[in-house]
Amino acid sequence: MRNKVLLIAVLTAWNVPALAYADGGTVRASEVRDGRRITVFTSPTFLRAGPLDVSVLVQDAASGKPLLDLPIVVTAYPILDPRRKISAPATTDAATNKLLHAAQLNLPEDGTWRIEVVVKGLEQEPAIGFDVDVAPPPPPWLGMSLWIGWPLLAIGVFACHQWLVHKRRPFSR
Amino acid sequence: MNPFLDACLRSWPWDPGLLVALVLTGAIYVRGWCFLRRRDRHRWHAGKLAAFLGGLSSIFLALASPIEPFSYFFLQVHMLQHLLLMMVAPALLWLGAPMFPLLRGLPQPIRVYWVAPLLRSPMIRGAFTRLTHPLWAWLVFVAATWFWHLPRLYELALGSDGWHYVQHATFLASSLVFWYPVVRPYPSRPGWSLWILVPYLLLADIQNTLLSALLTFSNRVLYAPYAEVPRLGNLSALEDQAAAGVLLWVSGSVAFLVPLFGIGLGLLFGKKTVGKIQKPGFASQGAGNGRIALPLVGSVKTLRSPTTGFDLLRVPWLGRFLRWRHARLCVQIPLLVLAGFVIYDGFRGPQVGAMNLAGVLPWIHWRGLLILGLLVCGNVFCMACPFTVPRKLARRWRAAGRPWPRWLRNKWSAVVLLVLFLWAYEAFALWDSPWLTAGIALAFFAAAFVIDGLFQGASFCKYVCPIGQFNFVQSLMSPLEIKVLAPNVCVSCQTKECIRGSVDVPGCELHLYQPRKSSNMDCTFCLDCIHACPHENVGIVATGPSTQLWRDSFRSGIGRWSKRRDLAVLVVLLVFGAFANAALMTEPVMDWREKTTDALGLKSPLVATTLVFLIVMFAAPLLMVAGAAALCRRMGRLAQNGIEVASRYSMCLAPLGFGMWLTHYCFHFFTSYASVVPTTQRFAADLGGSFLGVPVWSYACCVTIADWLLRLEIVFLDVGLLLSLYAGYRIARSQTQHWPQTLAAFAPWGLLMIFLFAAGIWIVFQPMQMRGTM
Repeated sequence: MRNKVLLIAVLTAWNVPALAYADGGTVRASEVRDGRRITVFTSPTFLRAGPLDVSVLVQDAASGKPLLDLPIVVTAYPILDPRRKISAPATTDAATNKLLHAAQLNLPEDGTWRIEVVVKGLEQEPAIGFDVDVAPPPPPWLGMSLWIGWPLLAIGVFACHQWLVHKRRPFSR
Repeated sequence: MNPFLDACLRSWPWDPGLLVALVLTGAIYVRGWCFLRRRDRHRWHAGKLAAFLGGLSSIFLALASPIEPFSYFFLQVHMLQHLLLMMVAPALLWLGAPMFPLLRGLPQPIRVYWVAPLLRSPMIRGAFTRLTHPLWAWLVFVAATWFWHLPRLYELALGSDGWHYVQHATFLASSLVFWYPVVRPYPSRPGWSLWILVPYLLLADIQNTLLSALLTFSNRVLYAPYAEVPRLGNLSALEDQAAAGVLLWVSGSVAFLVPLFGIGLGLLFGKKTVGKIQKPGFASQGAGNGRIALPLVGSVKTLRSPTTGFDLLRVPWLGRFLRWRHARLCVQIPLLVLAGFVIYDGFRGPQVGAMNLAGVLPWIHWRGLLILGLLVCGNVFCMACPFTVPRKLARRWRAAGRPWPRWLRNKWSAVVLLVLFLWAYEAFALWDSPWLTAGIALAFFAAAFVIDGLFQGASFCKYVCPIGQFNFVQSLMSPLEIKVLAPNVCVSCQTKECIRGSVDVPGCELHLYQPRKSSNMDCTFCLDCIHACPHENVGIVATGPSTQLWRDSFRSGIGRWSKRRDLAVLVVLLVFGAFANAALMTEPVMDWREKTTDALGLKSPLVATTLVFLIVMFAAPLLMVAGAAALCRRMGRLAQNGIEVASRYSMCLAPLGFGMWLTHYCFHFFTSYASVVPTTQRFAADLGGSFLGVPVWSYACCVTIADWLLRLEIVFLDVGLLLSLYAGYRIARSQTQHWPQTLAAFAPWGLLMIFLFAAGIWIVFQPMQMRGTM
């Protein structure tokens, strides 16, 4: 049963198309605060306990022009225990797309988590907050499954090679 | 610069895998192109090189430039990415006529043994010919294009990195197929009329126009994610979609109609032979459609010459140093001094492993560096072995000894010592007992001194030393080997100094006659044969790791693998020893040991340790190897007896064992290498030297286990498994006539290897006892 759950989880992580995607993440919230549109993306799509990438795009609400290098802090805490806060600054240096501000958080456990994004200097703080459901972490070997499993590919290629080469004639020594 | 534009231009995703693949492909092409250009400058002009490298650059630009991150915001940028993959890169790659350059640029063994047989395969040649026929090529291209532009599938690719890779790979592959008949890169010879290309390109343009029109004139956003993402600038999602459609329309028309125009002109006004059907088949140097001429691929015979490979002795400075008669002594003396420190500190220093040189240097640094040395070079520890320095003194004391007893000329005594050593390591926690470690080091010195003082040759190294046996077996996986450079020189040599010795230099003391030596087994890298050979015909040359495992030829000083039961037992012990040694430091096994000790009402875990040791080192190997040999013999219908089969196939387990030792020792080395700093400071302070400062004991705590280390450990096991599987398969192949029989003979051993591999993977994921640290 556990294996089936794991298999479904893997396939879900691979397949599920969420609402929208940017910088490799899913759009979780997009709101206008103090004349600025703030959009928050998270990655991966299917959230599990462990590393979580949060990207923030701040734009001028009127012109749509992105605003760069703003002081942004991302905070996460379990809904059931708001005292256990995890925070990290979101910077453009950490983002692949330099129009975004990115931060990496490490969610230690599963459950429902509240993510809050605070853009310093705005009159209304916190700017944006939303809840996410976080699944239990995968077993360690699952995270390394590609590293463990690539010999299977090599064996498959080799088997094809040998079959093509030797199917018509016996071995030469 | 505009900050917005500046931010866009700095948005380069980091994809090392793609970069390595492209650089490697480019390097192979350039290597082959340079070779071919020396033969025919006219055909292999710079334009071909520029086109191929341009094709690779287009792929890089599409997938690893700012285009990639912005493709999630703008459909038109995403379209540009796909156009680069479908229109630009494939055409440029084919214009580089990559078949011969890529083949010629590959290393010879890969070209000859791996690629050439595939190119000779009628099935592959037939499939390629059919696939690149215009009818099939057109269908494949159009199907891939429309399939991935269906909204549901496009959204799937946008939502998952994995599917996005699949989409890009499909686009690139189908486009390579599509552009092949259009470009017809050398040495293709189409077996169809070139007139087919007129409707081919025309119809391709029509379907492209249809798709473009759908995107351009649609009054709703076809791909939902683009309606959800925030808009950068004032462009709406619908306007963005229309722009993407126009981009596809214009670029596609140019890409399809310009070649159509050129081909049409050629057909109407070019040479008369252009439009004729050419019979598919081999030209003298060329090939049929999709068929690669084989003379360039090379033949197996050319591989036999050992002089063409890398020779360490040809490396400037290093080669000169190694040829110097006293080179070995120069590397032995530092280790001799270190061994002196270890023995002194082991007896006189604090009896805490992590604070004593005898607890840190041998068990963390020496083991780690030894195994890494075997991986990247060869048996370098035996070369630098300090234990044999007193042997030279012993020889002066008593020059001519007696020969080593005939009944002891095998590995059995070394096997017994090795088992005792591995058992004592666990039973008496040698890593945490400086005085025992020092005692063992002293015993090695004494044994080498006495045995080599009494007997001829390097009897201690060849028949007794357990460390030497470990190194001999593991060095079968090393990339360097001491070997004759030109066999013809040895045929005409009358004096045979390499085995008999010269006035100043002894010959091989391990009885390895160079012309008949193959593999690193029993070779201590003492360099005597190199120094003795008057023709400078012995080198330290590159060799394929593990390639000697499946060859059962007669070896000087060793004989045949299949006849050496002692050697087979040694290999099996070292393989299972690797797993036992690593498993016994994992938390579950240690817990089990403690529980067993409690259950038996014992105070010391010695009995439980011995029990585990007996199971893993004797019962398990005996059952598994005997079972595999019996099944192999029965299923493969082999004529050899069971012991001979077991002896022969046991050799193929060695790479997996090597992978486990590597994993284990590298774990300790990379997590605890800094522990030598405070220990040395403490040792210096104890001797009255405060110049190294106060010991910083925080260095003696092991560092956090990084992800890269876990990945590295898994890769070591992966490679060990693959080499073992391959060696086992080659042994099975050498004993059977047909593929099904080979697979049947190989299957039991393959299963055993996979079981050991799974055990290794389980071990690396367990919490480990950090030995030798605080």
